[in-house]
Amino acid sequence: MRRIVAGAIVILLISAIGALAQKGGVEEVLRFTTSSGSVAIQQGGQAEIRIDVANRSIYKAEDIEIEELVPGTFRIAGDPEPIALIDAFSSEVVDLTVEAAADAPLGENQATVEIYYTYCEGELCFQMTDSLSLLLHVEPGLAEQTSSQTVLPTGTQTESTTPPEDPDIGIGPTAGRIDRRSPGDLSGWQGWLIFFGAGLSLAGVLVANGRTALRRRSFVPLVLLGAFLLVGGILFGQHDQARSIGAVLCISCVGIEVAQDIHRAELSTSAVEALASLDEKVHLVVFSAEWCHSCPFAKEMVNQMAEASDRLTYEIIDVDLEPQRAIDAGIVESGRTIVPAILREGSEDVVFGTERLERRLLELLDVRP
Amino acid sequence: MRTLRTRAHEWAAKRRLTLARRGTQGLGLLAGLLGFTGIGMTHVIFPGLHCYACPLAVTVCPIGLMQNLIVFGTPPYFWLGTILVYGLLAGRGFCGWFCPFGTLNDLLSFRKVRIQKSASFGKFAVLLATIGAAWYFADTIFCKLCPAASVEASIPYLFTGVATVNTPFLIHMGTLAFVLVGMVLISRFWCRYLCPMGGLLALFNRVSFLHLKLDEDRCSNCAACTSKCPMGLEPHNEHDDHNCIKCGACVEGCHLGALSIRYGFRKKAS
Repeated sequence: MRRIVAGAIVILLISAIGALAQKGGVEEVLRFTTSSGSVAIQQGGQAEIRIDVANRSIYKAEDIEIEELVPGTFRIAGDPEPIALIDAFSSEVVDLTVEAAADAPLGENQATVEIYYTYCEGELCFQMTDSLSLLLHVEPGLAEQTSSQTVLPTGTQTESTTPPEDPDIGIGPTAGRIDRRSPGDLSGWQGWLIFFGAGLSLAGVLVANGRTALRRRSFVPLVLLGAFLLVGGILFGQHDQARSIGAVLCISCVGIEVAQDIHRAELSTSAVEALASLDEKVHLVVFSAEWCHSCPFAKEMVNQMAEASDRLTYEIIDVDLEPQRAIDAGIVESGRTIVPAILREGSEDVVFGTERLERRLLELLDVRP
Repeated sequence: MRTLRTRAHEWAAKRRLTLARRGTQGLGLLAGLLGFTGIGMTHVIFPGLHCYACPLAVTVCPIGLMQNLIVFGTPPYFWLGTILVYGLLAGRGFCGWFCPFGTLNDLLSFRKVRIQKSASFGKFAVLLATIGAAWYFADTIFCKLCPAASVEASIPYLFTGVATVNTPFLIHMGTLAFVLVGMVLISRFWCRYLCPMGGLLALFNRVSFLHLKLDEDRCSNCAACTSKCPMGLEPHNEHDDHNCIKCGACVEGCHLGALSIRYGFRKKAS
């Protein structure tokens, strides 16, 4: 009995690792939430709703537009400004003004916001459609009266009604499911079956052979299984992926510093004043990776500095796409490329990470607040 | 009167497995720190818990890679194939003979208390939690708590100026301190109860070439091996347990020669 339980654990564990990896932890690119629970709105009146848009994925999301509200008894007042870009692991907020028709039904109503955005994996771009459900409590009101009301959060969160793992996606004219896997990879149930089979084979060997296991008859299937997985992995280039994961070190990812939120990248007044005194032209090179948690913060900080001083320019290098630039620039600490890293061109001075970034960047630029 | 040389020979003969193990543990440490040669990161997955963020690492941590594959959504064929090969070659023998963090556990093994069998499934729980957290948070959560990363990445990067004494650093030091205290109080504490890599290799422990063999005709059930086992097992009863790291301490402890370390196919138990 214990052996059967052990076998079942092996099957489950290996299947779970495979299935979760195939599914990916970042299937949803953007997550939409609103901190407001039920929002009160008068017939013919308006209410403001704040929507948090968080990018939990390793990809950049672009052209995020909030376009429609269904049913037709509610509509979005004005034309909300689209968000041009949300970096990986960053977030933005959108303030919506929702307007109720004069004949909107009284009581609890559910309205759905349609949201469109694009994200790219390498050269493949996907147009995504998602939706967010809003709870609107319609109260009696005069049709001619227009009231604007902001409702305090009730503490409950309303999340996207579309299951995050099943957004509608289109690429070009053809709609289909999200595919985050490498080209040529087995996808969906076939891949899952492989892992289930791997777990089953191993469990079978464990159970069939009793307490003392590896004998000649069980050696062959195990070696074949190992060889099949190894060769398959190498054919799909997964050995290169393994190397690149080790070769580029995102220091917030391994817990050397806290991943900074892009919204906290706000230049202080004293820093802006100090940058005005920059008396020579300086070019900064920001080394980043798309999947790096703190890189959007570093890029935004440098961007704000460049806006504060005409003499400061910068460029962004993706170390996954241009590894040689990082090596040439010496953005390599003890054999691995560290991101984010900011280099002052023409010198060997580099700032790694995002801790006390403003102060360290000012020191890099030789200006004092 | 026996000469000093004779005594040394006798000691070495009795401790030959320990000496051999110290040699392979040294090789494990060297393999983990080959970065000093400048060869850079390779495609090799390390057969133990060794942080790829370590400034001198040239191999990829299997647990770190597993989490990244889950975050990136890559079916782990290469990873699983490698783990299967390691499992076949030695199973948890890598914990006893090669893993640098296992070596640290070994060096601090002062109190060989009995293992709590139910708690030893904790390493499977840590493994499952690592997988679940990587999927749910789309992040390498275990790395942020890993005591091996504390020793091999946080502290070295503090000296190179990349890291500072901040909250993540203190969390790493906290987990390291907890595990170190555990190691001092309970031999191989991390390997027994918490190591997710140990949990992975334990799945293959009964099918690996490296194994412990018991000659029941010679065994007198004196339990001399039990007092030597750093994992707190009773080797004469549990020589094929998923917790056995095949270090050979019990082999040296058995005066009747009932236990031996073997490599190859196993014979059917009589």
